[in-house]
Amino acid sequence: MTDPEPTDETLDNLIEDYLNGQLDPARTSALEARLQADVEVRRAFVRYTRLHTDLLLELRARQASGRVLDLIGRDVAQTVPASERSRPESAAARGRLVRRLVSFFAASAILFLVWVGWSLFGSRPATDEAVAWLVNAQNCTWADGEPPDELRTGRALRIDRGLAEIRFRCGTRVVIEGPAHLDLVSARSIRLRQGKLTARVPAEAIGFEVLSPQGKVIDLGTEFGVSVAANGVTDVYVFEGQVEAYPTGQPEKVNLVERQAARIAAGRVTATDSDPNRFVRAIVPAPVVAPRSTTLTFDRPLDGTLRDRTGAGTGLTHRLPGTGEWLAANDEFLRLDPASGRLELTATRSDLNTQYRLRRGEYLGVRLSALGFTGAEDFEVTAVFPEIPSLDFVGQFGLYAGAGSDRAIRGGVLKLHKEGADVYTQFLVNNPDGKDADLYEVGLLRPGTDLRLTLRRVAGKYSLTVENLTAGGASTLAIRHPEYLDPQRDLYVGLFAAEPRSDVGRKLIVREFQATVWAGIR
Amino acid sequence: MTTQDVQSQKAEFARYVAESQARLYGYVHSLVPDLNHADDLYQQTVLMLWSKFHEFDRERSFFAWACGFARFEAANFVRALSRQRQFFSDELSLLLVEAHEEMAEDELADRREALSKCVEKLSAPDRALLTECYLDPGGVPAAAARRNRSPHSVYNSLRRIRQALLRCITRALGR
Repeated sequence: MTDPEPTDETLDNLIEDYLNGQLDPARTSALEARLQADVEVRRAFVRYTRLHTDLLLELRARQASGRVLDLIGRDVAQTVPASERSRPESAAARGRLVRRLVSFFAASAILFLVWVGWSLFGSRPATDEAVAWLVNAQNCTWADGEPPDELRTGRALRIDRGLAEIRFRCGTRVVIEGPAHLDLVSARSIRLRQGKLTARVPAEAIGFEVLSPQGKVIDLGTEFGVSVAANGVTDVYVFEGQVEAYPTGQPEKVNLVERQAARIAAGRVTATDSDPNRFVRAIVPAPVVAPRSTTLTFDRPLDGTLRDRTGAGTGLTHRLPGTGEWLAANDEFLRLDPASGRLELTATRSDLNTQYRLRRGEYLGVRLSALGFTGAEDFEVTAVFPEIPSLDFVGQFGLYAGAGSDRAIRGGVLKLHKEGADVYTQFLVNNPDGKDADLYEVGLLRPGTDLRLTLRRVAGKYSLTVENLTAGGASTLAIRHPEYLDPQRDLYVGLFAAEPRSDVGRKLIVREFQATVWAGIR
Repeated sequence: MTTQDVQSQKAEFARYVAESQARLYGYVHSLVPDLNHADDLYQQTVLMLWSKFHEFDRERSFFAWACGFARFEAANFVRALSRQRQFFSDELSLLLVEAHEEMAEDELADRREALSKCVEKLSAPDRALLTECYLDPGGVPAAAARRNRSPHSVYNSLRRIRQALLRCITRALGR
């Protein structure tokens, strides 16, 4: 998304920070002075704060109408026993919101009706529209033939074997593992008669339900798995967030949180030890290939790995050959921050291009052979860089893969402008013989953005994906194929930060690092 | 006062509130941007208005009269929170009442309608983020934590989304 800059940046920023409760007294006074001085500024302020108010009402109305519609849909469908229809609205996590909704709407009942009515009859889908879509399937055998892509309320799905993924209009994603039999009860509920599924429910769809012969599970913003045995006994496991589990015909519920499991049977909910691994949470491509990963979250020191300046092991094990030889064993440019789960890397003066000062260059990561790489396997390396710093001219950071400093591919972001705007260009470049070749650059990014970079080799082809976590966009870059890497049997992947023309030494933060090799291929 | 009088007063009060509530809620919200606080404050204000309704001069604007109480309640409220944040001066608060009053009911309704369409046009992740930030009791910090992002970066996203919505509304209204 490339929105043009707002016309009056400073005023917008002041109002934004005011709305977010982040205005200190000095800036409050600045805002006040501007409001006092100019009627147009006051009008702009009123429009902006009205947006804030209207947004709140709009989003509440959407959520409220979602629930109301769900109830209407269920009554019409007549698929739910009366005992389930009068479920108590006492969810702890929702309590406060419900109280606020009730109190607010009690004070302005008419407004509420106008809003719900408008949402109901305005933008909502008619009842015969699709409530969910079949979006993915793997080795899936359908008992009644493959269903249409668009799924409507009342639809039954029967899978003999394999996996299927459906996405609801409300945003909920459900992965079903065969053998399974289920019905789409409404836009926000399904009945699992038998089999296994996992559901990932976004905030917008909180309240999503999975009904089973022995009870039901109501989501409170989460990811969870449900399995139903032939006799109806229901097991629940919560991967993330929270759910409520109800036994059929009983008003008592049990709240389950992350990593808790329970069994619903014979009118009771009892805690169990369940194995989360028995649920399939996502359909991963190329299932015959077993990925082997190393994941670092930088939340504790790891012995026997590259050490930071205090001697704490960072978890990264190797440097790209030809780099970092002169760096101390306790590397002064690294700092592990276990409390906040991050690694700080200070950019040093170096450049793979022309092999400049590489003995002090920071190019660290892992050796792929440790993950089963023997030369032919695909692999990927990914890392999250929150709030990227501002670097100097040609300052760069990102990810690399290579056999050595003079046989590598690297990509990330690069400061290409000497003066003017503080922006980055995304780049991917080959380094076949010590000198950069085939430089490809695209897009602009600002310091302060959160980025996730992923450098991968898929079916032998290299690409770099730059995800802008702040703006929500992503781009994937590819360049001329690096043939010089094809014969290499011993590759290294990792991250780097370099300031070829500066000794200022700015800090890059790294959060989450993962290297994966798809071993056992072809 | 007979029960019937009370009933008819209540009905009259309800009509006044119904006419002004969107605007009054907006005014309260512009004084106290925190969503939770604005709810409480709005309720408090309406209760206060009801208790003073017998003093209301029917020749005057109900909205302007109500804003006087809202402003008073808001000042107390902010003081009670004992935050460092300064409260807008009396003079400015009055000017803001004017600015709120100036916006015609039609325009408010048009803007709300446009907003609804603009929210529909947002990408699903943007809409989810917005919903969480506005409706989740944990607000922005909770939404940021779930995404493994900093609150600062989520505030930046919110700014981008809100500004995009403002532009979308302006376009939709053709002005």
